[in-house]
Amino acid sequence: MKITIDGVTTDVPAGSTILDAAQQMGIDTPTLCYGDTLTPVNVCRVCVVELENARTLVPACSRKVEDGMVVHTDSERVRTSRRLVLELLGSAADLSTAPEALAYIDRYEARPDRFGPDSLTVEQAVKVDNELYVRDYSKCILCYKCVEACGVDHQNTFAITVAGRGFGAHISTELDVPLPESACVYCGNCVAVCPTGALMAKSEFDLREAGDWREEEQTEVDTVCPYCGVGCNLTLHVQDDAIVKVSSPDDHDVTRGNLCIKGRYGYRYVQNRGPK
Amino acid sequence: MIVYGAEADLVDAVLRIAEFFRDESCGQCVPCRIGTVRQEEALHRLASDTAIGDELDVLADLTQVMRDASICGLGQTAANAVDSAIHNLGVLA
Ligand code: SF4
Ligand code: SF4
Ligand code: SF4
Ligand code: FES
Repeated sequence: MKITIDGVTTDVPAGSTILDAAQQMGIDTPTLCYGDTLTPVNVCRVCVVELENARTLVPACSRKVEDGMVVHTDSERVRTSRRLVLELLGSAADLSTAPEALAYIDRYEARPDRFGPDSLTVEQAVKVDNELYVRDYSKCILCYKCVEACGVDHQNTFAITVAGRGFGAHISTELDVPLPESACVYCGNCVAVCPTGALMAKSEFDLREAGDWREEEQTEVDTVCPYCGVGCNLTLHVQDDAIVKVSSPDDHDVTRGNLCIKGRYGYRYVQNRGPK
Repeated sequence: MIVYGAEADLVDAVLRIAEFFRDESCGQCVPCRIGTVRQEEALHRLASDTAIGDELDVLADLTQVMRDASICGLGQTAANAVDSAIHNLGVLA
């Protein structure tokens, strides 16, 4: 398949998306709802590009390349849409722990405060109802990644979904019950894909609350989960000689960033140091 | 096309159209889910003389981006009547 992006023509395999083609050409496309291990839902619209002869812009993350497509990724129309989408998100949700979104806001010179201080937001009380992870939906941009991770893309538990509609659409457990009463099995695979920190390990949340989350000082140690024969890869995030978070590399063919409750949260015995 | 009598309250009509689209948004995509809310908020500020900054500039951006970047026809047309009233009839302009 031949595609011309920003004046340069290239060949990509059939089935590639415009995003794949742009990546192949070294063009950095912003994405928020796209995840390399998830089915594209194309809802955030921050990745839009201009496709010649199309009425509207198209989402690069999910639009498949057709032979002869001519695409512009940095036109005025593209920049305006990307900027406004970021302004809308930043005006509605707290992006303070969303590093990608903040970087895009800088890159597109977005001004989320341009709608004024009385803009409707998704601000609400943080949900701390279990010992393993915290849900702060004031930070949620409704990217659907957690729903996909909990559903057919990864976990197949279906503990959470999108409820409501319009601006009231939000992530909810069944009947909005607290997490311990829901179907959730605490694999944390939703937490792993959340791009905003709306879902956050309780260990990270507590350290941040205490002003003691020092990411720049943390080291990462790759190891293998000690619990079962699957042998998932773990990345231990270590601060002051203590494990403060566990993740899993999403470029692994088998686990694709996923773990179960034991691998992700069952590390406390390692540092159960007893009374001094 | 919508036809109004000469005595119609066009500001009220524009506010009601903006409310309709905000209410009908399914909430899936960002330009429509948040854009229809910001459109209605900006129109209310204009209608009540409490504008902050350049509201018409905000509305023009919303018109372009809801049309260009929303997933479906609802978001893509959510600013049409508002934009037409402002630019063709001078409502709130
Ligand atoms: S922790 Fe696992 S089971 Fe629970 S909501 Fe997240 S993805 Fe679903
Ligand atoms: S909680 Fe996180 S992953 Fe889930 S929709 Fe919100 S921002 Fe996306
Ligand atoms: S444009 Fe369509 S898909 Fe997007 S939020 Fe509006 S109604 Fe939903
Ligand atoms: S990354 Fe493409 S629509 Fe969200």
